[in-house]
Amino acid sequence: MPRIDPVEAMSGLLVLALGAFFYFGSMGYPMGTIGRMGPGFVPHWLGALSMFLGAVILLSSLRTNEPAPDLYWRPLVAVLASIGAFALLLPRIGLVGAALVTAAISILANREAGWRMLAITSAAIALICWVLFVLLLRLPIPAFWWDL
Amino acid sequence: MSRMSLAKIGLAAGLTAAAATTAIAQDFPNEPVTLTVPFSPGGSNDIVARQLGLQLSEQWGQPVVVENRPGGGATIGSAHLAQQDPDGYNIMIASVTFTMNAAVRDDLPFDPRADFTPIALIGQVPLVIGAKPDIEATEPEAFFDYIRSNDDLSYGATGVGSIQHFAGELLNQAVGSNVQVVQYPGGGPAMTDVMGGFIEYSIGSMTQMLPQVEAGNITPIAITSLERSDAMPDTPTLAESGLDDFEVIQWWAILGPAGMDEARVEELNSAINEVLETEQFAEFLANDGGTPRPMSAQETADFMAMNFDRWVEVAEQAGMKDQAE
Amino acid sequence: MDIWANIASGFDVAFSSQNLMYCFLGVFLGTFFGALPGIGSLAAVSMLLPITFYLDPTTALVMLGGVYYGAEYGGSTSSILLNLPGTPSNAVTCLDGYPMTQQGRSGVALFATTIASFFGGTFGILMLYSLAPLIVQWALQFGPAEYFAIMVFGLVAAATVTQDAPAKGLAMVVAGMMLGTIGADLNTGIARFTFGYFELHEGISFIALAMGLFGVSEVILSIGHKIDKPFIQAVTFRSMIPRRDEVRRSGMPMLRGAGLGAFFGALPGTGPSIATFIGYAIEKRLSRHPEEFGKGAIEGIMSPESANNAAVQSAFIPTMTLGIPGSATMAVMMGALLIHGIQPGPQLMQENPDIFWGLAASFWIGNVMLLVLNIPLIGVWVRLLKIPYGILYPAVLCFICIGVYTVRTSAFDVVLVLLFGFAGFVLRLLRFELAPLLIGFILGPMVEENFKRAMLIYRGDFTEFLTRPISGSLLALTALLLVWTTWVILRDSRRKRPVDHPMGEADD
Repeated sequence: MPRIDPVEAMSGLLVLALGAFFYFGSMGYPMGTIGRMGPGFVPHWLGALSMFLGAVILLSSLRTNEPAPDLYWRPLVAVLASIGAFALLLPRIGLVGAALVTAAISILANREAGWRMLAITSAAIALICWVLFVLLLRLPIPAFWWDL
Repeated sequence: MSRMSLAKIGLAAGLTAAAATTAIAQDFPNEPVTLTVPFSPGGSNDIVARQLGLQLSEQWGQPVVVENRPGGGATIGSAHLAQQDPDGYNIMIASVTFTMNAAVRDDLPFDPRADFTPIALIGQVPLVIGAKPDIEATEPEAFFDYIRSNDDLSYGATGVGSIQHFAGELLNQAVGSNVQVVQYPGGGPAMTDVMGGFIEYSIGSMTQMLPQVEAGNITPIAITSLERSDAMPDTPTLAESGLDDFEVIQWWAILGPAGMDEARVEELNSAINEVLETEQFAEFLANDGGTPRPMSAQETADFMAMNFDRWVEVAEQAGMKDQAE
Repeated sequence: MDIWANIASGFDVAFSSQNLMYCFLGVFLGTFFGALPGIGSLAAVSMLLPITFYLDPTTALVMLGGVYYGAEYGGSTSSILLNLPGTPSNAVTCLDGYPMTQQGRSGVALFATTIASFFGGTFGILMLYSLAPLIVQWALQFGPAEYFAIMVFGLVAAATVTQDAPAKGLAMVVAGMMLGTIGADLNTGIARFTFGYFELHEGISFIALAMGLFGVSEVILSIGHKIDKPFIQAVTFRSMIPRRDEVRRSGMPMLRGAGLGAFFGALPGTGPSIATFIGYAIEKRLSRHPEEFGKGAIEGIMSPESANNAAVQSAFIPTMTLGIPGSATMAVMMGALLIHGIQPGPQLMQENPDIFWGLAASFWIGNVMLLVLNIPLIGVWVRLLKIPYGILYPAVLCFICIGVYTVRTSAFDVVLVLLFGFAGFVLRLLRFELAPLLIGFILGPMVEENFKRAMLIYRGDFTEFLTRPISGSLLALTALLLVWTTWVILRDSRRKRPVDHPMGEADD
């Protein structure tokens, strides 16, 4: 019995699932005909193609075998959280605060960074963003909460 | 010389400071006013808003910050404005499309009539029926016959419920023709397909049509305002060519959130009207075949109400919502 | 001859001290912002637009033009050094530019792309000078059927960019096309897959997609192993000189790239990204050692960089001579002229010849400035790699957020960066290539739109695609490319069993 390559199997499943999402999701929209396509036509058949490709990749996972890659949990969570914080904070406390928090959270991804480095780096980045984008370029972005 | 230029950059970047020193102390506005443009930079709404904002900031001595909030066919910017404080520091530019959208879309997250305060009308520009360069029927009457008697023709518009689509369907109704609408992502791409002869015509704003007409890339058939335009004096109106009362014009207005103080609305209205009366602004609009159209706040509100009613009627008659099936 | 008089008067305008200064300011700011990871030409031009309102129209455009092509120059810097494309059209440059950095040869890569950019830019300007009216007449021959054909050609070419797993590359093209269908359908106004978010009505923000997929996923994967072992780079002048065989291998790709770029740039509605992808695909097909592509082949950076800068220059042709901007960035530029009451279009060359010729001249001067500016800067950029990654990446993330936010004043788009950052991370762990996804996303909607449009105009008659000369020959070319690619795949798979590459690009 052949061994299954986890990377290829996951890839196949992912492509299959994405295709299925568009294939079935588009069924709520009018299909039309090929000469007069409705909005559902293109995503529907792209979904079908994607499901086919997913199946091909899944089958090929039976042949090859490669080691599973490392996961990078800490950077993944910290980086994504830092971007989320920016989206959340910018409209509420302005650019400087948002940049400060974003930089600080993203630095948590770095296992070696100490508190001092975190404080200095994030403050410096917030300062650079403020000077560059608000003072010099005068972008219509609120800098602080009182500018909102 | 280069030092002077450097000073100029400083000035440019610091316009706000420069303008503030020349202004007299006043109650309103005493801080920057945000003028929301619910479209990307570079379009006609954006350009009109920026010119207006520039002249308002000179008048007030307070910066007018033009803020582009595009998306959702102007939905995002409009919804954003509707939620701002009705203190006069948050205003928005809206065009005829705002009242047309209300007629064809039922997914708007706001009430286009109730959630806004009409402040002032800015100006208007007619549309031009621009046909492909080698069209034989160049006179309106011959053109009507041509589109009535051929059933394989197409015209370009800029999306379901766009002003071009409304104008096209109104023309179909008035002439009794059945020209097929083909949608484009913008007026420019629609015009290139007219110039290349791929579609018969498109009914676009004079701003976009004028240079192409002057270059002979597009044949003007007629314009859609009730009176002829100074920018194209030789082009007849549809109304004088047998389609009585045919009028579709592009206009722009300034709106605020609902619940604005009446005195504040008046202040803004008279400030805007003062800009409209300057030669500078009239020339700016005339460049593109447009004219300023000062109105009181009440007249603006009536004008918009009339537009809302009219487009609902046209959309129903043309079955424009059903085209979505 | 008349044209020489025009060119001379153009240089007169461009050499006025004010225009020279703003030209320099524009290219300087453009390179600077382009090189900042996360800020591309669209963001840079939108950010700097308000400054130009107070300048006279020629000067305003001289400066904005400088920002635009300066940002395209600078965009290659962060692609090569950090694997973070500054603009979507630099995404292809990452494929071979970043491996060169990993080999300690970033100086060579930066030097080579500077030359390629200058060459492409100059080529595009020559087009602008000599052929503008001709090209425009010719571009008008492109209707929906022709655009459909050329987009399909681009898609097929893009699918072959992928390295060694055709099914996975194709799956990414299709995934990009599916993501491209999100948003309001043009013909019916029906919102597809928007889940009630109006922010998705005009589709997913291109910048958010590119920054998330490429930028954020790269940062996530790099933290951890880049922090303790920064790349060792030589920064002497000699380290910038390419090997002799690289010089020899650079000429033709640069020329082909410039030609492709000038061609696609002049077609309104295509843009530089497509030219870079097709250029890369062609070089890989023509190369005698295609196995080097993706591992630091010099052709893989010369062609796309030359193409992208040629396209940026020739993109001014439809904007200036037809008044029809081909891209979002060009729309902002055109807005800058309109604000000053100048209508770009067929009349521009007659009514304001000083603007047209002055701009063309200043573009070339700007390109010379970029050349002079960039070669000494290479040393500075390379030293940037010495900044500890632990300090660099938080700044990169902030720049990405600010850049994406500013383009549409939208926090929603920042959330999209988060989602696509996650998606890009997962896809790279699974050893998918992301460039085909991006090109599918750009081309997919155009293919759909133009196909539907052609079907409406020709009343459902498919034969029109084949009988129209331009679209017919393009489709025939596409079929040939498909047959050839299939044959190559079959031949290779028969000759040798597929070789496993334990090092996916994500693991470096």
